[in-house]
Amino acid sequence: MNKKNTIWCGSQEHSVGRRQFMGSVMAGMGAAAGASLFTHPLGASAIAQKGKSVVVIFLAGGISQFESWDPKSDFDTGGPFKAIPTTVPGIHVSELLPYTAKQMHHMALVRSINSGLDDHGLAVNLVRSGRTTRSATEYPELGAVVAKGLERDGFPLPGHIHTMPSGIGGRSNNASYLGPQYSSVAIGAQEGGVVNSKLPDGMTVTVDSRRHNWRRFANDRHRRVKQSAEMDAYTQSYEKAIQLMERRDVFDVSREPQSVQDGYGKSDFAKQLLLARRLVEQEIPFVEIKHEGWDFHHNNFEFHTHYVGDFDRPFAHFIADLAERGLLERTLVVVMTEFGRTPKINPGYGRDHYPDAWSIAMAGCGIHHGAVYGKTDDKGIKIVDGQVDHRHLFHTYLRAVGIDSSAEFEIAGRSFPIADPAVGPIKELLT
Amino acid sequence: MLIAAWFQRFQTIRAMFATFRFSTLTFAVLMFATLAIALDGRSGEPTPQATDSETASGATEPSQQETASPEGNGGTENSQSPNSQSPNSQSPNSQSPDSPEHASASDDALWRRIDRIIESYHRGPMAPVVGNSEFVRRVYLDLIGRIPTAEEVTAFFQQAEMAGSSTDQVRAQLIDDLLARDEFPQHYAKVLEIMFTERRSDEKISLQEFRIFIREWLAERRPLNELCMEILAADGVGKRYRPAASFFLNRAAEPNLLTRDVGRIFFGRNVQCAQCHDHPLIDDYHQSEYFGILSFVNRSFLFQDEKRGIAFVGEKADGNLEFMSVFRPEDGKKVAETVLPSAMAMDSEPSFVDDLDGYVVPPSKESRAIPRHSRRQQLAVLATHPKNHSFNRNLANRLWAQMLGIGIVHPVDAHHGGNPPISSALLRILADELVASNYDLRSILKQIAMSHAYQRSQTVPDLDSWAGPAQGTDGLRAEIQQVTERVQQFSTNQQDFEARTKSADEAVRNAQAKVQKVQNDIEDQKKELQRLRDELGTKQKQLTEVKSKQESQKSLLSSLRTAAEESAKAAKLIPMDEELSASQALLEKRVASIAESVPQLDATLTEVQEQVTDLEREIEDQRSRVIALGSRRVAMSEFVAEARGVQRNVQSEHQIMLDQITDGTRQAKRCQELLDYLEVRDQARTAAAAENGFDPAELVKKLEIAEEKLIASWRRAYALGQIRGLTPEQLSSATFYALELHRPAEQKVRTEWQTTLADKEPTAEDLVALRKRIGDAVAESQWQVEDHLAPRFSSPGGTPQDGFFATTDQALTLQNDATYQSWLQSSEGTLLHRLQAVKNDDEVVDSIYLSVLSRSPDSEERQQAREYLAQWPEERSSVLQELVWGLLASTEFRFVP
Repeated sequence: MNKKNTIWCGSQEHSVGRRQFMGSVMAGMGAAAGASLFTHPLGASAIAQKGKSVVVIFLAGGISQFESWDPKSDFDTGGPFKAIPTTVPGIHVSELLPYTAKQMHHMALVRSINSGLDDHGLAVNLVRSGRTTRSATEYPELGAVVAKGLERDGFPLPGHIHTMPSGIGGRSNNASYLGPQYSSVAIGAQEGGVVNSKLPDGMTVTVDSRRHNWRRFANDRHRRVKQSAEMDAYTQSYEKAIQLMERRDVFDVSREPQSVQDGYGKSDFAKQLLLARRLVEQEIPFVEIKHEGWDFHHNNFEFHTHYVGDFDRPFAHFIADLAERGLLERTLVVVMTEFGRTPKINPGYGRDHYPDAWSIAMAGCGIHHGAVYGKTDDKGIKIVDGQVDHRHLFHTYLRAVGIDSSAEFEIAGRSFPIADPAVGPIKELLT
Repeated sequence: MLIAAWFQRFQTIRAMFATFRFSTLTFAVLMFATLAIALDGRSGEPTPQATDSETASGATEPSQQETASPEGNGGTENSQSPNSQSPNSQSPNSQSPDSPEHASASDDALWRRIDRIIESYHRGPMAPVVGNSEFVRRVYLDLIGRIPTAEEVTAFFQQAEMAGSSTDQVRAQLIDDLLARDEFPQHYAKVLEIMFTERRSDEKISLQEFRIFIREWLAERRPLNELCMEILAADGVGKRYRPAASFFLNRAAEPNLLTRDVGRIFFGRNVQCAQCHDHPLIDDYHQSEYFGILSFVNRSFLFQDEKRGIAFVGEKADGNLEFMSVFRPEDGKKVAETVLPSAMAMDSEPSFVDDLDGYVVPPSKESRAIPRHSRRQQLAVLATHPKNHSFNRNLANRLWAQMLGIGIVHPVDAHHGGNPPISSALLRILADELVASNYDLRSILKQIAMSHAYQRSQTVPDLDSWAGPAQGTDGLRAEIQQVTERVQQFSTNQQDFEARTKSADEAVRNAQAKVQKVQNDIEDQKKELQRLRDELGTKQKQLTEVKSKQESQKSLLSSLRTAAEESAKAAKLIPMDEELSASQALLEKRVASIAESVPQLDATLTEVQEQVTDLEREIEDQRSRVIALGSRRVAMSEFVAEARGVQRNVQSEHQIMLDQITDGTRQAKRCQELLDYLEVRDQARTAAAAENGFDPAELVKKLEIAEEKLIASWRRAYALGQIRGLTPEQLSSATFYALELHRPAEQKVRTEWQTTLADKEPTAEDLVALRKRIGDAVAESQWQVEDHLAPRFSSPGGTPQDGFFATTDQALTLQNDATYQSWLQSSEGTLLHRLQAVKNDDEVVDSIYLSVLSRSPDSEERQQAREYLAQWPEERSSVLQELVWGLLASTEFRFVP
């Protein structure tokens, strides 16, 4: 084994970790399968961890594992960039990630993902839903599952948010059977926050509050004769809207001190990270930031220099900021993508789609910090240890924030396993 | 103390069900009193629940009821309603006390049969039909998609009062009136368009085009199954029928998506999970069913006509499917049969000798492929044929679900053995009626709307005062026993059916095997044909070679001859030249030798020529042999079709038995649920009477749960009205009409019309034209509201659209959205404008309630609203808006009454 690619430094501390993490895949899967025999509905008691959040940074298009989390700089497949050490002895990442390397002690890597599909659309379905499916609407996405799993009574803000550079989008179609209330709401990282969260022009707070009182009076009258969960949900939606209006500043990044804004940087990505931090502070269960364009069939190395560069510093700042504010203790950050890139460098200096052996990164709560799970061979062509796929990862994310992924959702009298019952989480990564 | 604590808890929870006066009584005594009242059927003063009050007003202010006022009539109507049983009715099976004029002729009307079925299985108090004020709002929403205007409500009440006839007659008149309006096809076009499209992106055919197509179809009263047929068959060609291709084109003609949605929307069967293997959880969704549908649509494709810049559906003439289970690869590949649910199959498909023979227009980049034999046309016919039970049951269930809020099978796309109908008998009579009425939408909707099942109140009956079922608990147990035995008997027939099914399946397979034999022969003969063609190719090549050799020899010969002749001439001129004569001799020798080879070549040519001719004949013969075999195959296939018919009959007979098992099993379950509830209630009563030695909190909770379960089950079984939100379109139209935004549009048309008419007396034709112009102008204006509001209340595209959900962004829209607020601004003709002019506060409040909620306010509501108006007199126009807004944002407005 090449020295540079040695993950574990060989110290006592890490050799324990190594045994723990490098446990046989079969054993891990067997244990998970055993657990799934005892599935049970996700009851109130199962949702133990209140106030946790998941932030997904989705590098859409497929970031190259070679130019990020699994460098192979001594081999022809590795490309021109060097591997650099991180704050965790033995873990190396690409030299394109100098700032992130300094946060590795908050992070964990999975370097052994084989997800099987190399079509963008289909692969995105896999990693988002944690299921092997060809349909985008058959299963809810991670965000919807987390929003439901970490849902709290009376929580005034939406639980499943996709940030965007600016503007406001509608509800998406990504909650499947969980219902549209768990679909993502798109919110721009611009001044002003959520659309329609300001009173109509000319309306005073006094007028607003008296019209609501009259509305409540009408509802109370009606409730005397008819009651239903749907009616209560409708009544509740107004109260939630009022609470959201009271907290509309949360969505307004321009409320941050200038120094903090400067610290994150001026890029769209940086602004969305800052918005995400504000949302995490409010204990919003799920936030996703999309960073698009990672599909470099040509000039892979030039593009990665720019793209990883755009990612590295704000991301590292985000992790450091979360850690400093104590938010990392209750927030899981996942750097996701739909597949990796080919070890073979094509004649246009590009790398093509490669679902056979790729990596993701995580940071924050519920996982061992400074850990690496799984291993690819020297050239990064094949997985040699700890092969997992999108389904195991899905279980792992959920477990990390305290959602029992072996449980089931009960929706309108039907049971739906929260995650694919055929597999379980990467136990070795979980604390 | 224990009793006191329990009672307080009990009291709090029961606040809505029971009213107590407990100032002078001790808690213990009160408890007994309550129970005593409950047990003797509450003979004392009427309470809200005893009369099933329909509105808050009816509940608390009986004195407000005036005969002419909506809720007044509503109140009296309740007591007159033929089916209103008091909550302690002892006789669940008793027939409704029908008035004599209804007893005979219309006794077999579908709606009465619907109600009889529900009465026959329900073992509790049946919720009465709603009063007129709720009915009028409900039926307007369901048939024409909007709430009635204030005038329409008043007119209905006047009619109801003046006619003096039965409730059923007055309601039948209103239903007929609504179904005859132009607004009916307009509304149902939306309903059906959403059913087919499920709010998918409409980039190829706009939603409006498709709605207009359906609207015209319905306006002409054409059958629904033919509409479905048109939708499955349309390829986008022809101006009039192009919009029907929306179903295929807006799904980009993607075969797997189409398979899923044809299954779900036309047969109510979501077979998507059976794509890669038999459905893991649902026994009757087989991979073969998925591939059955797929094989009808997989030849279709999206054809982009570059010249015209629009898309069409093209179809290939070939392409058979094979499939293999990913779970059982060892079973090997199976060829997909072109068969739909209910054994609707296309078993006699013509075959063509050559691929191109299969086309009217062969596929190319420039032109849309049109096959001679289109599988999609076959799909359209088979899917919508009256013999297709899956189609009939699905359509009946979807129409019923649209009216009642929940399907007899629910979810509507999950028809399968593990999710049986709430009542198979009910589903069956509806499906049969569809066929019998030739799929007439109006006639089935009228029957549904007339049924008491549809008209039932949503208010929960008072269980405390209900003595229990007439048959008593022993009777219930006996019924369970009886029903279970019957089910078991049916189940013994199961074996018989299995045998019959097996033999019918076998017959199909045998007939198919014979066809297959011919098919194999065809394949062999086609191979032979190909061999002959290959040989012909070789021979033709040879022929060409011989010909060209012959020609080159001939031309050589002729030039040699010319040379020899010229040389002879020269030799004559120079007689003594030896060299010359030698050359001449050589030339002549060559001429002779070549001349000799020519006949040989000629012979070869003739020979090859003959061989070619022979081969051509042979190929012609072989072709006709293949054609003949193709015809034979078609003839043979008739026997597959015949066996298929038997298979279909066995299946449908089997279905009758399965239906009876389903209904029996459900009935036993229903009785058991009731027994469970009664047991818990008895425990609670005994415990309360015993004063101590029990855990009150736990018992109350248990009783509450048992009650909720029972009520939910009764609601599900249509003994109680469903609580359902307005659809996004209903909500938009209700908002539009509540604010009277239709009036400005109507006014504008009228003014223009009067100007053009000048002093002329309008003819009948003029009036028809005016009505149409008003209708169009109002619809256009209404679309502005719908286009803005509906998307915010809709489920995402491509998913079922029948669920209710309430989200923060919806509430924010209603609270703060500038466009929404602009509708509340007063402008000429609207409600707010009208209100500004009214000085009398009582009149203002009455107007608001009538326009927004289709009823009068009760005294408490009137009082509150008057105080609101009085408190900020200087802000009157704002307060008027706020009063209207509060009701628009209320639950009463958001839900179907």
